[in-house]
Amino acid sequence: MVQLTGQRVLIEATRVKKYFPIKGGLLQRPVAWVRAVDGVDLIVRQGVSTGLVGESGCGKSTLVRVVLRVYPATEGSIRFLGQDVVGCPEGKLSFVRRNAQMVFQDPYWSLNPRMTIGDVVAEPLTVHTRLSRVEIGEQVKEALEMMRLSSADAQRYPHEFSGGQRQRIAIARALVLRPALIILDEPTSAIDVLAQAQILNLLRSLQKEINLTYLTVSHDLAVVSHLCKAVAVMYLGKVVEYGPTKEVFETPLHPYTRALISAIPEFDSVNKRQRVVLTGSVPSAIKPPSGCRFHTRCPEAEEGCAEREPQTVEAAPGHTVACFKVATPGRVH
Amino acid sequence: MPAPLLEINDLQVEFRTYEGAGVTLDLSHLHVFEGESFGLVGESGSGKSLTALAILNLIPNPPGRILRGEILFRGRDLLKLPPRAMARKRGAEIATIFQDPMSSLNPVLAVGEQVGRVLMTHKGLNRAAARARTVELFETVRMPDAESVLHKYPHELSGGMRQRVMIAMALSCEAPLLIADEATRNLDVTIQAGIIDLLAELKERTGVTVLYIASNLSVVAQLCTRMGLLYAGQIVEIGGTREVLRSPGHPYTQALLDAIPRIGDADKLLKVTEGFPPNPVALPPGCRFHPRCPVAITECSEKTPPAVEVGSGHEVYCFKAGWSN
Repeated sequence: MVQLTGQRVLIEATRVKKYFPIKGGLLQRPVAWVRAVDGVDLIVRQGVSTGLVGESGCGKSTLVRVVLRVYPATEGSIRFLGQDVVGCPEGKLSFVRRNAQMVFQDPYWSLNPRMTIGDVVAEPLTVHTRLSRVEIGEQVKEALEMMRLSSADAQRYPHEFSGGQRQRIAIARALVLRPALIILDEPTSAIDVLAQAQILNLLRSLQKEINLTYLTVSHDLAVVSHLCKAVAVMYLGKVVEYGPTKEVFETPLHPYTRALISAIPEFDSVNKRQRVVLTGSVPSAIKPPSGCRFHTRCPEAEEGCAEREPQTVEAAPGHTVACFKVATPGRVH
Repeated sequence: MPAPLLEINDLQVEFRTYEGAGVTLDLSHLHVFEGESFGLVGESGSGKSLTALAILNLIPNPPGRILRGEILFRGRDLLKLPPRAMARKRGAEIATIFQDPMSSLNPVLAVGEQVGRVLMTHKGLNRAAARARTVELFETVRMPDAESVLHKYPHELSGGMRQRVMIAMALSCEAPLLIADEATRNLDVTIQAGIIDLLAELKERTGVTVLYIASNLSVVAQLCTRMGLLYAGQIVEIGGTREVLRSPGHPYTQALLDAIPRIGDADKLLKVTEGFPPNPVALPPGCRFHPRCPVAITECSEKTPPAVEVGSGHEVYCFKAGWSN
């Protein structure tokens, strides 16, 4: 069993909702709401890197952005390092901005093409600290070296680097403030497989060396399994399963998790895994299905699933699931 | 053994940039048999999409230029065809599913209209017949509610549905050769699995020859009987998919297989190949992989490695071919 408790709590999100308005009519009033995140509880502790997985549109990126107050939450409470994020005045958010750094999906867009690498990596320091130029230079050099880039690279521009190197530059920028949490939003999906392996190994060694915690948003379950101790599976704005990564991927309890895992392309065409075929696409988040939101595509759905919403229950220590099929606490496969 | 439908011999493509001219594609020999699925795998910049463009004679000139070589399609050299004859071949005899359907589809035309125009152009159908055939094609690609999708614009469809429109369009002329360029890239795994199943089913039903271009080994593993690997514009290994993946003969193929993260062995670090692919304007001498190769010997930096046959139809361009066995 992986220990999911322990050090201090970084993120504590309770019943978080984020609805985006769809405006219409003469007065441009909201006529409907996209329920991107619809009642999510999530705790991320230091040292327990956590993955958020699910199909596009499930709300995983929105959840991260609400936690960081890029978007204000519609409802619910969010605490970051013990402090309230939801009600915090805009000017007092630096405890979030400084301690949570983000690495975006596409390093071709996330680096300013007119800034040198040195300036890109130094920018968080000039914003959040009062270090001298010499001190900043030293820290930039250190961050670049951690990502296996040389300090000579600081003089060069983003276009001189390959995709994999650019992503390492973006990670160096995130590291330079030594934040408590690094958010990786699809960190390797724009990158080739050899460069991806380099980055995954680097991220893993940093986890140990400087006690970093990652919140990884990805649709690639293998990437999450390599970086994260815990994983939350999201479907249509809700977390349907949460637990230690190994346990969730080896003995998935929710039918949706099983379908996601079985959809991963396999190498060995001889021992093909039995694929759980999901019919149809993800329903609209404007009018989510009644009851369990997955019932329209669930291969195991029964009558009651369309009527009542399943409660999240702890099926095994630290492993929760929201499905009627595993509603008896303590029942583990 | 069936005849090759497509055969590429000694093809060299050069690109001119501000940094200088570089040979970005250098294919000594590649053939695709009638009725098979062939997978061409490589990282970005390896020349795999360029191969597709060369076959279609769509390499932008300048900056690109075909220096030499031949591309035989049913025995005729496509590079020698006059532009109008080539234009008739595209779509009608060589159909393509491009990656990123959002930028390949016309955003201001309904998707039914877009598929219909292909049928009117190449098949000479009238509007009503083209419309009826489009509905049929949408049903073939398992488009939910085919009739109503006709009037939708690309932005109204999901990624998976847009890719199905692209596939319907590629199938519309029953072309004998279908080039699928990263047809499942940027799709969710669940949607990707559906598209892979669809492509496999269509292949079974129509017997079309498929050249599948991918950066993802696992997609090719599921769809293709033979595969080739490209590194820095050159083929490094070619053979039956199962043989290549089970007993890779080239260190690069092994490196790719080692680099893929798998859910089962998340406890171990991945085997990493340091460095990155060479710049085409400054290619290393000898084998282009030698600066990153864990088993390189002196010869590798001096001479271009020859093709070594390590199994039936399984060729490896390496002095240390099959080194691990």
